[in-house]
Amino acid sequence: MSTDRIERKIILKAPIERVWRALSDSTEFGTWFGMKFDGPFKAGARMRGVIVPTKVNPDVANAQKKYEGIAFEITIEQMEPERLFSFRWHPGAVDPAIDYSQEPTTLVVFILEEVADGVMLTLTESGFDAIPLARRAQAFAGNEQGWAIQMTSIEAYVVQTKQAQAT
Amino acid sequence: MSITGLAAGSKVTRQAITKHLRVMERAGLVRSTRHGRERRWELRERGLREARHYLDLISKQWDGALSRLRSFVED
Repeated sequence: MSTDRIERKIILKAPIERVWRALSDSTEFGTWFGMKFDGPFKAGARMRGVIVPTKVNPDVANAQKKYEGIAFEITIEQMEPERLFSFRWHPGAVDPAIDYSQEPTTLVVFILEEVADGVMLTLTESGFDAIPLARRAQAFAGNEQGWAIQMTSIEAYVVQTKQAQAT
Repeated sequence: MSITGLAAGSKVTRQAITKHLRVMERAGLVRSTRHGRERRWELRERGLREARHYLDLISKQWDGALSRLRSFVED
């Protein structure tokens, strides 16, 4: 198994122009991803995105709430209409105290292919081997903290329920 | 393992292997020690485990994002 890249494929039952718009229009991208960008995407553009809760899924919106307002820098690489969209960013750059700008980036590529029942979308993100391991380890520290919070609320819920039953 | 050992039977050049190993060393995936004129390389098991765990996490985040994209374009 590679430690450098991930790949995901999904079939979207929608016309290719619809999928392309959802990826290439920065407002639409932000709506499902949970980000607000400071302008339209265009090849070579260096842009800033701010995390905002997604409007698509309320549970995810809640989970993103703690990162709300955190700014990301992304550089658009290629835009080939209805075929390919790619950008570079700093994965997991959610600590406002760290200047990530001098660190290596990963490359995110979306490839669209028309298939019988819609669009096959292939997503790859690569370049993780160049990211210092210490930086990568921070990602699960944050995540496990997230789990710890979840566990605490479950615990609180269980305790409350038990007390309610006892009385 | 030495670079000579790693390059044996492979079409990749020693220079290319060294370059990749340096990147992996900076990332904490491998470690090297000098034995006389030769440098020997070994895997850092813990680093590798952490790196895979990290990729699993990133993959899960993307799974979530892609399923939101699906609801967004299919509705």
